[in-house]
Amino acid sequence: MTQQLTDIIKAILQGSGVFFIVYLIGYSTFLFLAVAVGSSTLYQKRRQIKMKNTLMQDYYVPVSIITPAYNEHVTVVETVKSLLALEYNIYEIIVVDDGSKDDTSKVLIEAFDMHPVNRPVQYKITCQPVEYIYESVGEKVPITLIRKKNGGKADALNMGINMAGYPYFVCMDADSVLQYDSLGKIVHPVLENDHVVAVGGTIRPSNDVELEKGRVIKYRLPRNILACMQVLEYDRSFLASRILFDKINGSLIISGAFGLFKKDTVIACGGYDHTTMGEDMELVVKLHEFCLTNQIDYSIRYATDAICWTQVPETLKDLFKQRRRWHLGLFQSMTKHKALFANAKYGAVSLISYLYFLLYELLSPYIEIFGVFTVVLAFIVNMINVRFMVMFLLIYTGYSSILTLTAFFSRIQTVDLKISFSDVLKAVLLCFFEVSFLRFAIAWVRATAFAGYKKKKLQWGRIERKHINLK
Amino acid sequence: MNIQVLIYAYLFICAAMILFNIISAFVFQERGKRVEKVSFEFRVHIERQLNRIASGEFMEQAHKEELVKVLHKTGNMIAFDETMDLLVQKYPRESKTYFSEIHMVFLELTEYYHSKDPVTVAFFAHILGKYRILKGTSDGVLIRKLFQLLCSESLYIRENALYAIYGSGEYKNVVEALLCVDRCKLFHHTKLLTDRLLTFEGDRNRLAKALWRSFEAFSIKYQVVILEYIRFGDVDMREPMLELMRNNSRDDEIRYSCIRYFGKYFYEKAHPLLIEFLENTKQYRWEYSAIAARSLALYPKDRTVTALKRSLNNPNWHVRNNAAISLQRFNLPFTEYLDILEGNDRYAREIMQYRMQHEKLGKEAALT
Repeated sequence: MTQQLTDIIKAILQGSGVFFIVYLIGYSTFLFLAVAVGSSTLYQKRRQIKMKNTLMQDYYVPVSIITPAYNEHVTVVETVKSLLALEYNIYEIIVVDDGSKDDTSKVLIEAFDMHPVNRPVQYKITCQPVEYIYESVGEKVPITLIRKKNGGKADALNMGINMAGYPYFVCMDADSVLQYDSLGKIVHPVLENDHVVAVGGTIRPSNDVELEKGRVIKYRLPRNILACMQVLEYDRSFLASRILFDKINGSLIISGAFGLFKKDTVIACGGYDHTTMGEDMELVVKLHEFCLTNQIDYSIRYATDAICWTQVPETLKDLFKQRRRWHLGLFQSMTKHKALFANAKYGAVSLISYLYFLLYELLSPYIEIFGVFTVVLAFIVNMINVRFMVMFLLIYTGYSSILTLTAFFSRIQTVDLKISFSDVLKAVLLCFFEVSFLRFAIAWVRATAFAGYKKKKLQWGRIERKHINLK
Repeated sequence: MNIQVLIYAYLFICAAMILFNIISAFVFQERGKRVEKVSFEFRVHIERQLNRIASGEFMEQAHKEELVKVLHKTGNMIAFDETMDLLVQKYPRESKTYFSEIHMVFLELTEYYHSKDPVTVAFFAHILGKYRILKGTSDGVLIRKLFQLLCSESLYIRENALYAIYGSGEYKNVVEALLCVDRCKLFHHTKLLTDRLLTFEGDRNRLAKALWRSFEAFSIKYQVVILEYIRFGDVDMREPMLELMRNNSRDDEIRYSCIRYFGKYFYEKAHPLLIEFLENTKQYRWEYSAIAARSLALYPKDRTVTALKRSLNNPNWHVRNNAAISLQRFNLPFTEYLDILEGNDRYAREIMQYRMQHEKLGKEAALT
């Protein structure tokens, strides 16, 4: 009986072994391809810029910037000031206060000398009603503040879309800063191709970066180790998957922190879904499904040089909260659009992007935890070659770290940022920790994300805010 | 065994990646240094020529020959561009003469650069445009070569080639170039085309008239571009625009452009037709009413006020909004708005109230 059980366990372990080999080969190959394609794209882009293969900055596509805010009185004024410093001519700023309990509206009204107006709202997308509207007309561009009944971030964004006066809108977070040239850069794909319905920007952590009027005065890695590891993680994920998916028109995510959308198309597909936590991803997946189902010629692009600086969490508590939320959002977006699963009708979006997100994003924490479990089990039944396992782990860590560093240095080199030697050392050391520890901690958090899910379903994701380091 | 091969393969990839990082960092550093060194050498030589020009002497033939030789390297062309960026500021007058003198240098470089990759081809066209190498050239090898680039797949080649051709200041070149791009049937955003036309530094009126003469040879999209150029370029073409606006067989987009034109340039004869577009909602699409409502802000007459007031009851939000914007621009006495503000139509009331508030805020802001 015991022998029979051992045989069954061994058979399971052997099967698992084959599964993990295939799974890891798939992941490593994807990561390698993505970093190689990403790096080469960035170098190509750098060469293009150097050799004036760019569009003149004077081409202005009118854009409405929508900033949803909830209890953001610490950062919202600085954010709007940074938006006023953008080097772009035709745009408007719309701040939607989603029923904040703090002084978000008050500080804005005072800082920009705003006045109440009875502006009618055309509800093209349903959302919670307006409480009051303020406008400022003395600034470089019009600023509108809409205070509405609390309904969540997606609901606030929908209100912003209803109020937007221009054909394209940019959504951004109230704790982020757009680089001075980011608006000009994010509209370039629209000028290059008429079928572009959405463009994602690049998000970079702003912790300890000195910015003046949207320009980087001094770049350094954050002093906080956790934030520093996130810099490496962001560079890897933005360089890796996003550029590769962009090549096949298969991007499934445009970060809520900075993205440009064609208003008519977003309205046609119903706007942001206020019942999900990952409203940013859900909208992009929905746009794919909508355009492919209705046979609309479309393109969703990623602008590597349109940069948004954002604060990343500096405590484990905030980071875990954020990642739990992201994972739930991923789950909701993917289950809501399950029609995209293995459906040839949807082409590369289904067969490559959706599958990747399913296997290597949504299910990866469970697979990784299952992996740890099988290692323990294999150790118990004496089926493990410890020397080989340690070597394999080291190679895996080394491989991932080197790809992370490649992504990081490619980004630094191609945007002409200078970093100190101590920051280079810091990046080299921390990338090992990021790959071997932080990644597993986050995997655990993501795997347990469903605990307390119902209770927190429609709340805004909160992390502790700091004043933005603007001059 | 197979697994070990795989592990070695990934180890090799790791090593290759590290090597890639180190080499690219080294290459960037070296390239930067080299460009800096070449720029310095260029600066010394070119400044000498500019000083000769300033003192009324001829440029040295040897310098031109040397330029042809060194500019055959793309890296040197980048250094040349960086140097000239500075020298054009320092010697604005002399540098114009300098570029007209080295026209032949670029002629000799054309074949070489046209055979390079698309990024380099676009860069060469950019240099031709930036330094107005073709200034005053109506025909010739360089222009012909640039026309060949207009059907390139690369948007940047087409854009930079147009930039260079428009830099000639010759309206005939512009018309021919635009026709050429149109015939290629490649996507080129109308905004890029219009804005590029607006950079034309020659005689705008002659260009507008030449474009008008060839109007029917263009596709509808390009016809709209021409009309937008006429509108933004301050070109007076009221009578032919009115004819176009009257023509029912024309595409809607063409007629919208004409309506917008009469929102910028007052023309008494256009007024009745604008009113017709605003009021005849059975015959015309809502876009006609909405654009006409905005353009009528330029026609402060009783007939306009009556029509705009009626349009405040239009079921379309954009028509109501534009009618309110135009009405408040007339600065009518408050009593003139009472029938709207005290009327039964809530939508009309709200939009008018808001536009009046907005206008008041704007005036207060202007005062402070």
